[in-house]
Amino acid sequence: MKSIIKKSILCFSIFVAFASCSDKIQVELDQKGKTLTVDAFLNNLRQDQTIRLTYTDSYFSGKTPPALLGAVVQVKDVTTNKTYDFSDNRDGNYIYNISTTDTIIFTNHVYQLNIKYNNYEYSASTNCKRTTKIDSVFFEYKESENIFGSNSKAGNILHLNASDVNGPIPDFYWIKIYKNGKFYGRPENIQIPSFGNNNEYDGFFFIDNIWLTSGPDGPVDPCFLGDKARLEICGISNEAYNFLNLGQKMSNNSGLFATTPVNLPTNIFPIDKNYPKVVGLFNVGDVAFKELICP
Amino acid sequence: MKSIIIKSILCFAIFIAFASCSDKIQVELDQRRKTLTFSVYFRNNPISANTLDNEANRFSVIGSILPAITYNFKF
Repeated sequence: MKSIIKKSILCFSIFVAFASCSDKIQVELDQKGKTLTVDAFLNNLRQDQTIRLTYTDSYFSGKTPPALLGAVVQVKDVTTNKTYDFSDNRDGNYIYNISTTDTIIFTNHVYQLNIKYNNYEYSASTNCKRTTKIDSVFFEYKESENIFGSNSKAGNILHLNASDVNGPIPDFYWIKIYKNGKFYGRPENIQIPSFGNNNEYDGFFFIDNIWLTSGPDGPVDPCFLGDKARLEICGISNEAYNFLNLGQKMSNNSGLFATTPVNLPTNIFPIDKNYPKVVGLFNVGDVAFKELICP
Repeated sequence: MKSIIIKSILCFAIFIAFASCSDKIQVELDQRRKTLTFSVYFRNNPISANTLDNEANRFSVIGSILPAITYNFKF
């Protein structure tokens, strides 16, 4: 009898300790001044390179942030001393048009970003990060299953066969997945493998069932006959890795162990310390990709 | 042996139930609010197709004063 009472108390204690609920609430945030946001991820793909300039907006606005028009945007290849002028597309995008056989990005070259607007001037510097070689991608048919409440659909899952580049420097990557041309960029889709800040896991293989971890809606959106899957591995800098890592944590924040929101780090700085600060990141990296149509 | 395991689990449950933080934010919150039975976190709405759809959530752990994230907001 005593044992039953003890067990009942124990069960009740555990239930009480861990019972929780979560409600969506309205929070009034103070309106702050608008800050310039720079989205400058350039790559060596044979396609137009875009730098996006916007202003920050309220966290709960739910709208596309307002675009910054009329800025002067230049990228300088410090290694070859060439300057590339990006033209204003009048929608916040500043574009450098290149032909399908050309590129302005070369591995290990040093690049400098210069932005001028409203008599303010900003600058950032980075070097082009290498990427790895994708050995192969292939589909594997997977039956539907229920793992920890996540119902996966039956279908074809893309697998990746690639490994980290051997070498003296630590490498960081951003894996992007596209299905039928649509990039899935939700916070939970961001996949940024690293192999140790000091190369502890140099040369290790990537997680092979990458579709389940960074694919479109994870396990619930497999590929079927005729679907075109594209996988990109982008080389990113350590700063970009920290930026995306923190951004992902902020966006996927939830539950008991949620973290305090913080401003993301930046590598773009004002020329004069009296100029207003900016947010965003300048990253230049190589991209390796493979495309596969689902059989 | 069983008794030790049961006691250990019970102690752990009680520890979790009454665990609390004592950093500066916690103290400030303590002064501002009478109760600390909930905390607030922010995230991108996981069921929305719009990646700009952010939301604030109040997280309550019944029987516990373990705040996940604390911030000085007025409710």
